Amino acid sequence: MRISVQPAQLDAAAARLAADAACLDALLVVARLEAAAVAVAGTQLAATVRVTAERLHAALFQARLQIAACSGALNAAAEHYELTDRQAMRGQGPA
Amino acid sequence: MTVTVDVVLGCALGDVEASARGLRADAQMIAGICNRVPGHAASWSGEAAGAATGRLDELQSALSRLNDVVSACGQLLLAAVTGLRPARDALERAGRFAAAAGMRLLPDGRVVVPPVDPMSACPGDGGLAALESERTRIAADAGALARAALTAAAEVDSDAALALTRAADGLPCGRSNSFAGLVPTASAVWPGPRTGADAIWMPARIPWDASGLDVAAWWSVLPAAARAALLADRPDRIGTLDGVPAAVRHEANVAVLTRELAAAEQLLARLQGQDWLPIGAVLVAARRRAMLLAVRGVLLADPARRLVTLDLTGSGLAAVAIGDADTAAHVAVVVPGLEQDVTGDLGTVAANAERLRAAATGLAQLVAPVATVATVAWIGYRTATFSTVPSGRRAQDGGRRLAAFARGLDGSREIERMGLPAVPGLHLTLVGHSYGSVAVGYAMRSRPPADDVVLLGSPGVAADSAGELAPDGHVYVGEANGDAVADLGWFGRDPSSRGFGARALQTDGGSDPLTGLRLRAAHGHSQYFDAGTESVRNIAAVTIGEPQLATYGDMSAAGDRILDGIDLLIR
Repeated sequence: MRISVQPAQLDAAAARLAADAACLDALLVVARLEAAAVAVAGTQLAATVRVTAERLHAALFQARLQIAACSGALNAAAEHYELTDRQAMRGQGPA
Repeated sequence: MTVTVDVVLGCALGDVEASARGLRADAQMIAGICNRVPGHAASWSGEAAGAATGRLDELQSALSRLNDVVSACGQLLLAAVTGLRPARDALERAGRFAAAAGMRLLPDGRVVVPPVDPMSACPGDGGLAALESERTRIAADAGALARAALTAAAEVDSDAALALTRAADGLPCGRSNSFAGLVPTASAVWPGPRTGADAIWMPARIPWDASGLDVAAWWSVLPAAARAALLADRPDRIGTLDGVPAAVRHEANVAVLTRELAAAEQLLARLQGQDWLPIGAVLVAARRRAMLLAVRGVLLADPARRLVTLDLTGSGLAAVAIGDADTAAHVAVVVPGLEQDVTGDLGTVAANAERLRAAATGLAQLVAPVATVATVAWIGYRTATFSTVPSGRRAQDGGRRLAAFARGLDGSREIERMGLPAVPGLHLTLVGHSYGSVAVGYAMRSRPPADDVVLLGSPGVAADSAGELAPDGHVYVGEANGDAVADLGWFGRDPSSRGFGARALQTDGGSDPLTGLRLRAAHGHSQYFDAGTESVRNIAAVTIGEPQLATYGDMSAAGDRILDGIDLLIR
């Protein structure tokens, strides 16, 4: 099978994903919801906002894990292609 | 979870708004991350690329869902703020209003009224009873506004919580695991076209069956967006809802009038264009158009006129205010009698109301130049015809409607005054002519907030004495020479009879005690409102709350003297 990507491209993609993960980490979604819940303390809305904040916290965490997995996989693929590329250049087999 | 006064007043809505705006910015950030995801595996093919693309698709889907929920949180919180802010402002207003009278709001919106200090009652203002009455009124007004605010806040709270629960549906569970126990019961969300976050600030229902004061309070706690939506969606309902300000009712009714007139024109054109002319349908459509044109004509006669009631069922009902009924210090509602309908008589009734307003304004300028006057030509009930007149049932229905109208005017004014103390309290006079006086009599039996009552050419009222209609000294009668109807006594006791206890306004001409100008006599049954008559001048004096300026005559015309004699013999 022919590979149509340069390992450097995969590395770059992994880096962009890592940057996005950092952006996601920097979001204040949960803090904002908690502040809103405090601001309407005593209402049904406050209680619901708190539960939503917890659920969003969990969802953001899962998304963060997914990004990390994707980023890791891209890095691994890049390493693999780099290795096979070097092997091919040394005449040890096709890439 | 019950929403209390303290909870609503404690809401830091600015903080909620800031959080909501931040959440919308966060959602945009997530959307950006989401949009970049497919690019990470671009120009890469092969088995590994396929697997990576699958993982990235899953990531994109998760981010997209996150974006939806975070964005919805922002929108819903902003919508909740839109709904809660007027409710909180209204509670603050009600609290200040009550506190100024030494009262306070309880958490459930009731008003605590401490006992009156008898020493604080000023004898000149009616003494202790008047003070207590005023305090009762303040408590009722503040309580109505607080109740409306709490109801609105509870609806917004419940609807926003429910919408948020739905928006977050499908997200992974957090520590609390679920919304179990938190999911609110859906309030009956307004079944109009507003959906999504907008539905949160829409009222659950239009309070058709509430008192004028409660309707006024309800209207005042609606967000501007909800008012605009209701006006656009249901102008027919808002235009006839007693308690909604007259200016708003006018706007709604004019919208209905314009729409229905265009529809009637189209229908007539379509019917007349048919090969076979459906005579019955054409007549119905033509009658409807004539009614609408009559109303439009009355409005066009003077830009200061306001269409405060428009009901197009049957022969129609309409009421036209001349002047600003929302702010005028004195408002008189002119109620016509037998065989009066919108198409044929609204113009005449409006002209009578206009002449009364002119006379009252002229008189007010002499004694109290800042006092403003509005009058209302009120065909708000189906007046009796010669065939239905014996039953008096239409007058009873008219009385019920008139009392509701009066409560609406007064309630709207009271709620308005809580925010704007410069707006004067309402001095309201009900002026019934002929069969209209019968309707006024029935209205007054339920004690609407009318200060004075004028009965003109009355064929009898369902009361044995003036005291049954209004406090002593506040019922006036007018009986012109040659008015045979005024002696009929068909619907109860003749209010101009000696023992009834009403004050008889002079109608037979004389000189104006204030200006010395000559005043004409009113003759017969239909000249009570004629310009320059002693009759309209005296009604005007009552209308502006200066009855001492009126001239009073002997209690009875010739017919009454005969009837009084018979009455005496019977007793």
